[in-house]
Amino acid sequence: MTPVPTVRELPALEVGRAFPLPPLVDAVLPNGLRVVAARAPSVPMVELRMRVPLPEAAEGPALAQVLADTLFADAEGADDLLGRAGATLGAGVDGGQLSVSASMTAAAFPEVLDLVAGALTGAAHPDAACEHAVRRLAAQLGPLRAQPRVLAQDALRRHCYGPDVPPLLPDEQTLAAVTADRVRQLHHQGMSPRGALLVLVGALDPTAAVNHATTALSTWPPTATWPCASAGSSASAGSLASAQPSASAGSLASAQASESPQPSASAQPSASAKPSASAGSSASPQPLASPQPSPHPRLPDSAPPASSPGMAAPSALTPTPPPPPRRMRPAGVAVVGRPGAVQSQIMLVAPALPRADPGFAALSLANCVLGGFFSSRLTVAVREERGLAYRIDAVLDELLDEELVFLDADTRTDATEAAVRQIRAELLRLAEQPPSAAETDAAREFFTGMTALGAASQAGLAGALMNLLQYGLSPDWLRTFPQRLAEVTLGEVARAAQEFYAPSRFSGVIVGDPSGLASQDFDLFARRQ
Amino acid sequence: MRTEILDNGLRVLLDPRPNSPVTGIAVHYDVGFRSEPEGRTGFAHLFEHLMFQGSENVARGEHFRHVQASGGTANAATHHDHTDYHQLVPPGALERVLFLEADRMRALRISAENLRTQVAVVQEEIRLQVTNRPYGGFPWTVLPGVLYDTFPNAHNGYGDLRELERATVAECEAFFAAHYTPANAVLTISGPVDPHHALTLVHRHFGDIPAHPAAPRPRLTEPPPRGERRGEHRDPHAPLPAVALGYRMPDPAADLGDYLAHMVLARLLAGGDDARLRRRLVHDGTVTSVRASCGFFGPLQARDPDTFLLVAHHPPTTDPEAVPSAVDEELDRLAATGPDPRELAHATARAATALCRSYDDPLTRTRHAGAFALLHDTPHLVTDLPTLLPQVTAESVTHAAKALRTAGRAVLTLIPGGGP
Repeated sequence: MTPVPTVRELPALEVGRAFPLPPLVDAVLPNGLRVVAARAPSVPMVELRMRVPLPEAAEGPALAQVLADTLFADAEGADDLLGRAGATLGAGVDGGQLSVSASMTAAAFPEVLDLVAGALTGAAHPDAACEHAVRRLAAQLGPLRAQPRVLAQDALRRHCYGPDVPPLLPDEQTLAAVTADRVRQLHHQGMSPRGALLVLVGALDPTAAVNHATTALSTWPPTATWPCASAGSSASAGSLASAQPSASAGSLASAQASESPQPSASAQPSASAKPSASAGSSASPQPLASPQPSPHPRLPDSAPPASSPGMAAPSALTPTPPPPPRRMRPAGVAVVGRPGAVQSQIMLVAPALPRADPGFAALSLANCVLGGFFSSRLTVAVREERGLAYRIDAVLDELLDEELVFLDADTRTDATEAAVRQIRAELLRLAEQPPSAAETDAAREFFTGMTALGAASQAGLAGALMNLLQYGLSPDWLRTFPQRLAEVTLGEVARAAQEFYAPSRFSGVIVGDPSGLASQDFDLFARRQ
Repeated sequence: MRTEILDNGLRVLLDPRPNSPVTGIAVHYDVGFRSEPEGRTGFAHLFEHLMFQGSENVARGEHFRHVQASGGTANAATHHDHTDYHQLVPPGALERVLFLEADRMRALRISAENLRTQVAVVQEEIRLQVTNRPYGGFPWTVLPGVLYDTFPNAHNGYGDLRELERATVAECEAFFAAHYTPANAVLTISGPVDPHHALTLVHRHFGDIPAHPAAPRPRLTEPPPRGERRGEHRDPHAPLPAVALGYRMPDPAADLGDYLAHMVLARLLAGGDDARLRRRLVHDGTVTSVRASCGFFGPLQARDPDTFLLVAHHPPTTDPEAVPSAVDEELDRLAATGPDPRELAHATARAATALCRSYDDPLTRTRHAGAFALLHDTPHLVTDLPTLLPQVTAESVTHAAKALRTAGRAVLTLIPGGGP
């Protein structure tokens, strides 16, 4: 170390150059499928993401899981094509939607897209494949349920929404009762391109990619004759991945992938474990992309569904109105026992705002200052000053289609009350000492930077675009949201801090060792000051 | 890509990426958990946390604050033989990050209070990642103890909670002086930078850090195991059994081609739905999952000796010997007749595109370029690996299969339950 300390000054930031935005086409096909294709030729590959709403089924999430697991079971030549293309292709269920994800060489992109289209329009879900999927998924349930964060999320749903909410995971009996007939029925009567989303990013020509998707998927009819068809996903399994801030509590498909070695020991939770950077969606700073307004905003043939010849009007297809959205109830803080636990999971939620709400930008900044990044007040107070947690976050996300703020931390059993008290103290301080100009500007700059960082890879851009579309936002939101953030005043941030973060608005669960938690007091949030 | 060496010994790796919208900056130090002393398991990782606790001109917490308020992210990770500190930022923040990295390389500040707090934070991290969850730390914290004999190779790199509590400020200062020297580090800059301008900034901030000698690297060489070694690991939270197999890898410094052949072999065995062990064990429900990989944290992320591993989770009804037997039989088949051409083409294509995709992420590219430079003196592998892997031949894969089949190995079984 130098004998005479030298005072050195933090260098200023160089003025940033304009972020190069990718060319993009955003189109709605005649059958209702929305396709967004963006050109990002950094490597000769293409990323594909797809979401298809699924209607509610009596079997709950079990039926959808088997559908996803067998989607490509009878796709002819799939192994050979995927092998030649060095491709990955998988399907799962997330938030009550079918989720398809693929990456491939750009040369093989048309063939892989045809393969996906063929499965969506004609998958047979063979009996043997469904039986195998049921066994495989059943074997994964135990390990998944044993994850403390899955336990916490499942408990949180019932605690805040009542015992009748769809379970986070299927149970063994329901899964075992799934038949191939029902899977085929769900697929071919319940799954429709209306409301479905397809994102294509990579070394491609956006117009040609959308044209190819149009050809490949034009035979997918926008009909849904499922007994209780509702376009929304609100009644189905809810938001498994997106409500799970940690990658460790992923969907069934990734149940055991999460047991792979820790990528080593980080000074802070790694990006993959951070809710803000998860594949799911969160409003705390996350990688977001900023594609340009499309050079071809609409394809010539992208007329609304109703005007397409041969297609029924949308209203004829939705005999049942979507069910009213669920709303969380104030339920206090409940302790959920996990005997033998050496650490407690604290998970608290309160109602927040939809992304399209004019107040969302100010709320995002307040949330970021509270717990949305490593420089946040919660991280400093709970982790860096007191060593009470490795991971503590505030995240804006959806649960059962309701926009909530999640406060989320893991702390040792005997310090759980102390951590909860500290969280409460920071909530109170957020109203009493609202975010300063410096704190707010740091959050603003962080959000804006994350936009560029998130779009800097094909996979990042594809994920960011899909997140936006799922929230019902247009790709242009990536450009306009940072502008909106820049306009937010300190007064607006202070009002959001005061309106949304009062401790009495929060309810939730603490999962931990029952005997270790028995003498601790968590009845703090219901009290007024 | 080019490398410069400053007078104080700091190696600077410049990776101009004119079309990238962001800049990755990493400092890799030649110290990992295989460098930590006996009685102080987990010390290298604990020290990593202390590198964010303030330096001469940067207060505690200010490193993250400055990087994030510049629109970027920062983090660090402790590996077997290196610890890397990395940032991904808008290009205009390059000099600011160089300042922050240089300040802590020049004059870290360690206080007893910060040490105590970070011991507690690291203990929470270990609870979160290992002791409070099913399959936590399996197999990387336990398999080395079966496969290896010497302390550096065999011990758990996350460490023992009690040993962490014994760490002192004096030990931290000595560790810093011994390992965090300019000549023991590689600085990587990857992004839309003008190399000349970047070097000017590097000289400005790192040039006056005094040179001083680093402690020698730990001695890692040990003879490979003979025969099969068995171990058991009890996991109170796990509902189902699991098994991990560990083998020694060829030294990439001596024969990179042989190492790459093992990477392809891992794909052939468990890399896709049509891989041999997946077809054989997953499809009939013998196991619920099986994977194979080179290195606990990925290929080429450690010096020799490195580990080839296979991990499977299975129902309690499965005979625990089923997995090792199936691996033996598939290795025997590959050793006898080699992979078929289609199978090999698929495995190499999958390996190549996975790398291509991985290095499309600017942070992964930055971190791996630095690690390859520090560990193997081969930073160019971030561009070359996707083209080298498809050149792996059937003969070299056959040779790799033979080598694994005849080598000693570790078999570690995870026994579920058993109470807290």
